Amino acid sequence: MTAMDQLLSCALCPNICRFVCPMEEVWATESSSPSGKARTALLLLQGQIPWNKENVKILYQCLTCWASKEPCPFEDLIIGDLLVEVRKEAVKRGVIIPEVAAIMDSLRKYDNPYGEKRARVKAPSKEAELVYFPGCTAELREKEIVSATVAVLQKAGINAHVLKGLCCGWPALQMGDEEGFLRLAKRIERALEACKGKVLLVGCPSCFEYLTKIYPGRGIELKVKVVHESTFFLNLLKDGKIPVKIIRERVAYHDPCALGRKMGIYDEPREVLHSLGLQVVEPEKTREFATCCGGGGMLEKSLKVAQKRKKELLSTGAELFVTACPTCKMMFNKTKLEVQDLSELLAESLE
Amino acid sequence: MMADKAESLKEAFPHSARLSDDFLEKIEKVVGNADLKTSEAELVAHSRDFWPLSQVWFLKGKIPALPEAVAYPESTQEVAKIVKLSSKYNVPIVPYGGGTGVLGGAIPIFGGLVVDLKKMNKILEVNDKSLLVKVQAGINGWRYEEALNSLGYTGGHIPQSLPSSTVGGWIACRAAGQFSTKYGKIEDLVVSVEAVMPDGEVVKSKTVPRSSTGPRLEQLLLGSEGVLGIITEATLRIFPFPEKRVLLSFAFDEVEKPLEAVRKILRRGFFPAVVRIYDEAEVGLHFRNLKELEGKSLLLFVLEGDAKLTDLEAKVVAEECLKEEGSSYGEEPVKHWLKTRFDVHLLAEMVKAGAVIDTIEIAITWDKAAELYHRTVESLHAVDGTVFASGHFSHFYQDGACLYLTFGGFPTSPDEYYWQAWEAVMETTLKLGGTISHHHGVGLVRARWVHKELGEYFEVLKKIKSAIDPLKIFNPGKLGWGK
Repeated sequence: MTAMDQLLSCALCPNICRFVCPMEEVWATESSSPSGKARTALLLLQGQIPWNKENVKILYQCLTCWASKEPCPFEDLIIGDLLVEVRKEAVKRGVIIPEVAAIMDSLRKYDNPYGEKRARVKAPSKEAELVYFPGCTAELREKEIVSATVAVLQKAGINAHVLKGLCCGWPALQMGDEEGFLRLAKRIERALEACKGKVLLVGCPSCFEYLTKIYPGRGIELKVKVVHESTFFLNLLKDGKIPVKIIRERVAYHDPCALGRKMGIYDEPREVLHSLGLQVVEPEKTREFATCCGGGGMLEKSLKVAQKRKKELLSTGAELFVTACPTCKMMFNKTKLEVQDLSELLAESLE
Repeated sequence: MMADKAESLKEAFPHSARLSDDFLEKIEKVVGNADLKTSEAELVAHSRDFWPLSQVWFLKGKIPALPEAVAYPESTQEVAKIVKLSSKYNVPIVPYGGGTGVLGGAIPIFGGLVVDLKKMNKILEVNDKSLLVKVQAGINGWRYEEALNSLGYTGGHIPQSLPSSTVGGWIACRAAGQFSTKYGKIEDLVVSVEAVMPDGEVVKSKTVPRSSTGPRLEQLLLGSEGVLGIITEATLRIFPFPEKRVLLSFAFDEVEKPLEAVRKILRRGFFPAVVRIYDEAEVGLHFRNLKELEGKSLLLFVLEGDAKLTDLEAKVVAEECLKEEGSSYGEEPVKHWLKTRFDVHLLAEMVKAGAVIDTIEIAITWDKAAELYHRTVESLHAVDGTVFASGHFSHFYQDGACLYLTFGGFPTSPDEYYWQAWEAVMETTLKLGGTISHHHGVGLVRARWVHKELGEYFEVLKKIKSAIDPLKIFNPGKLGWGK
């Protein structure tokens, strides 16, 4: 099925996935329903409604969280991914809503979506066996994750180079800026070539998805093996490379959309928690059905989605809350719910 | 962008004047700037419900009708203010829930203002002792049921539209759910209703188990499809989350046998939650993965509730089905149904492939149930262009059953074929003394047959409509008597 064909299927559907759409729930409008968005996208592409900011805004009322994947009756139809394609057309036509413009502008100027200058990329002083790429959010907003990861690597005796100052391009493509994405992706490709590392450790699930799935889909083949921290840490624990203290507490784990639904990694982070002696309690909506933290869109009303997920996490009665994504952590922190990244919990329990 | 038909209808009514800036400014003051929408995307989103013929139009680039603005009130008071303004400015007003109706009932054919209730989506109160829940009308059905489940209850109302429809929509369309043979239809579940009437007054009925103080007027709102007022809140019965669930299925050589089995089960006083009888054609379509069922008629049951009662019910069900020469096929077909019951992708795929397809649900007493099935399916096959026509019985009563027909074809003239097929079923049903709608309602599609269905009551309803909504601004053009 072509993208247009899929948009049409979605536009003809009576919104069978409406109930899982977090953006529909917080906007509480018909246009923000998945089928409403598909219909808007289709009519824009067909020239039946004008490409103006009000209409284009609807295309961005989606977190690309893939929650619709389970209830969607159509094979391989992901409305979020289809909408990203239509956002590209909006960007091409120069119809850019202010919050998208701000992110695109920041990416152009600073290579990150947070409007912050950061240090230039450093090449490794000596050859490192492993390259650790924290990604924009950990590097600029959740710095504890970077120090925790470095501490774990040191404890395991791994010689690592920390690659800072770069963005995987996810925020650019999400906004519909293909050109901006390619520019950022090429920088990553070049920087990794200069590092000569064989393994690339990433903590951010979106970076992970992009480097392993989106890049190859656009012909960018990295010459490193990319591993997410959940798998990496689990292997370290299994191999007995890091001695840890046992923590006897109840922990609720929040599945990041990009790690779970998009990359199919559900068990590894839970196994890490089990290895630390923790009792893992599941929120009512978990794994494939986990509610998004709201961070996927970086847009208006995201915080409301985070607040909804916060409630779901709190109702588990857990003492600790853990995720494996810097953006999820950042979103929950904004709601005043203290959530740790897997790396932080692991660093704390090092003997 | 308007379809010609809607355009001509619009001309016939005085309400189609463009909304004045003055009116919109006043509405904006009521709901706030963010909750009054006029973007094309928002208007297009409210140009439709899930009426299959309008899907065919959409495919051809036609949008049946557009409102001129959409308001999202957040309280009953806001709804009341909107209604008063609409009345003052003579503006057509169409209430909107999830937009899953299948008969065009929510299509704003005279333009005007759509009042979307989605922001009124809260559960206000749960009364455990009396097993009641009070909700705002715009709450999504799935979220409603899910919230009740996590508190240890079920609402018992599970229509196919559950993932997308709203509680207010269920009430306005006089809906029935898949589990209704046990839990009842929406009219059995609704205890009291709060609504804004066309004069802007808020009416609220008492939450009591029953009363004998004259007619219960809120019953008038059940099935009113927005032509008599806007439902803003309701109190509904709920049930303890079922302790046990048993899945059973039986196959028969002909459709008469399972009908007899179900009739006798109900006659003995057992009301299984889900009861469905599929004819051979539908078994071939929906259960084609279960080869051994080919050529059979299939009877499915979901029994649930108190464990002791459910066990006893399972015994009685098996007893009566075996007496009618049914052979047991266990849980598998029911599990398959449970898994696929909200899946409507086939309809979209068929429409895309150029088909005209629709469903019609009708009901009749037991003495004519089998005859209704045979004659309506025959009548559909007799329409030039029909490629398939099939049926299943989906809701049952001590006195009768609901028959749910599916038909379609690839006609050269979609509209003509569509109306001929409907005509065939409506006339056959009326001749046999059945009702022309069991639970989908009237909307635009059935409007032309309603006077035949209602007889003298049709005139009474017209008078009621004139008295309550003299300006005829509430969802004009719907229900046959709703103009």
